[in-house]
Amino acid sequence: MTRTSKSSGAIRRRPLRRGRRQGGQAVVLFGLFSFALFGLVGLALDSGHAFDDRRALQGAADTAADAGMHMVLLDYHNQSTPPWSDSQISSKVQSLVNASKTAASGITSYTAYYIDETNAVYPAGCQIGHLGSGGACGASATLTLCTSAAQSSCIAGVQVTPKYTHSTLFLSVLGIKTTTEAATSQARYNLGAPSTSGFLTFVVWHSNCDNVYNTGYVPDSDPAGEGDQDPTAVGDLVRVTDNHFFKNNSSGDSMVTACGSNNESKSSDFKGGFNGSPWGYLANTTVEQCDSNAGSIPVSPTETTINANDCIDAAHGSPGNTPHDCNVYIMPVIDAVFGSEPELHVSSFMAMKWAGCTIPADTNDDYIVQWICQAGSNSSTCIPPASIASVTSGFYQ
Amino acid sequence: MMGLAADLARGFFIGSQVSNAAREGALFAAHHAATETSRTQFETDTKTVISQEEQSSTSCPSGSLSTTIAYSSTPTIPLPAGSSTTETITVSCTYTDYIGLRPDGGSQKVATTVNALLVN
Repeated sequence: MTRTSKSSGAIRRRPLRRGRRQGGQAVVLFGLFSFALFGLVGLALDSGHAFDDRRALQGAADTAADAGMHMVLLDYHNQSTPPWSDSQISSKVQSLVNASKTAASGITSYTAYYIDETNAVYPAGCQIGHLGSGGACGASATLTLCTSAAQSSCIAGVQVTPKYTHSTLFLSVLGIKTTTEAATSQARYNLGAPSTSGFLTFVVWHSNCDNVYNTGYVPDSDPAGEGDQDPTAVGDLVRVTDNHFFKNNSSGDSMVTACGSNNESKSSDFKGGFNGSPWGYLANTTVEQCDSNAGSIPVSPTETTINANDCIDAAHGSPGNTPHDCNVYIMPVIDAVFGSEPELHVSSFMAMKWAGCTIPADTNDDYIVQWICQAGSNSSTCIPPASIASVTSGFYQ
Repeated sequence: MMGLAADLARGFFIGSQVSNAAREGALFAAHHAATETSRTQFETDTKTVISQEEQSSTSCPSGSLSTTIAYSSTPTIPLPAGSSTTETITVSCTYTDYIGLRPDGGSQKVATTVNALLVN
């Protein structure tokens, strides 16, 4: 590279002193780029710090929301005597958020609300722990729990949002003194959406037919509020241990795989149940029928409805004969709601009685008395066994 | 530089997997305190969940995963109705760098602590 100049009409060339001029240029460029580089490094470090805090906050939010929802769910399962109050839930959620400080580097504030089945905050603008305190929380608001699918303006879970504000390390040079991270987590129970295709209705019947509900399924709670934990009222929840029906006898719980060795000894056996899939009712494979023959049945599982020869009263039935005492046997009709939280609960009761007896008066509205036709029954006063499934369909809530 | 980057990336990955396993364990604990038969069984099952979750990720070397469980107040399991306690689960993994160029030495340890509210 050369540089030319005119002097006294002659052209004179002189060599360029490259080093000194470009060296100054480099200093300027280095200054500019180093400033940019410093900014980028600072951005990377502070952003990384912020993202790390954000992830920790999300963990804290998830934990607290899940715990809050769990307490709300316990209240739902025990509506007659809910174990957890609004203030207790608030206290536990707060303590859990605070306990997460170590993981989250520090939580400067948090908000927590109840949410309904549509994920909307309820009551709007009211933080948990303040129900009934007036304002957005209402003067007399209480824990109004959601009791059906997709219900709004009720409580089905908790939303927690912890926040963390901290000073920046490098970005403060650029005027960004602090950053605030926040994470929100919602957790709620889901009652599912009942549908005819999703409903599973079946009758649990006991071989002893004594209306004692302590064998076969585990009483879960008492939302119907009649003061016990047996499934003796419509709405009571039941659950199945390990997805099977169990019998409860002196030697402990064990899965029922067959009826007893003879009809008279089946007092602790079940004849209906699940096998395999948690909520699957596998037709012709899971319902064991105790036939009228003495001995260890089973008539290979063939029925999905109650048949005439089912021993609903083994104690009185005799080999080769159908039960024939005139007691009324009340059996819970269980349905299953399919959803993310599958539930079994009592949808109604069915009373069964040999059709040769007199129809008793229906003295309790909770019970729906039907007959099972037996051979020789008057079909005008009983229903054929094959119709029972459809009849129970009419018992849906 | 490549080796250093690989070890850093692996460390980040293991840390992420350990955190995930710890959270899985906490979730299991929060939902099973009322149904397990004893505290010993409860803790065993919780550790099994954590171990299985971690093993599935094949990140922490076999036998290098450690889990400790502590409580704000030692609970009775199954948890009685109306009671609660906070469980603190700490999961750690000790491993050796592949390249070992990190200035803090070749042996590394990542740990995650999570809390779970046991309630019934």
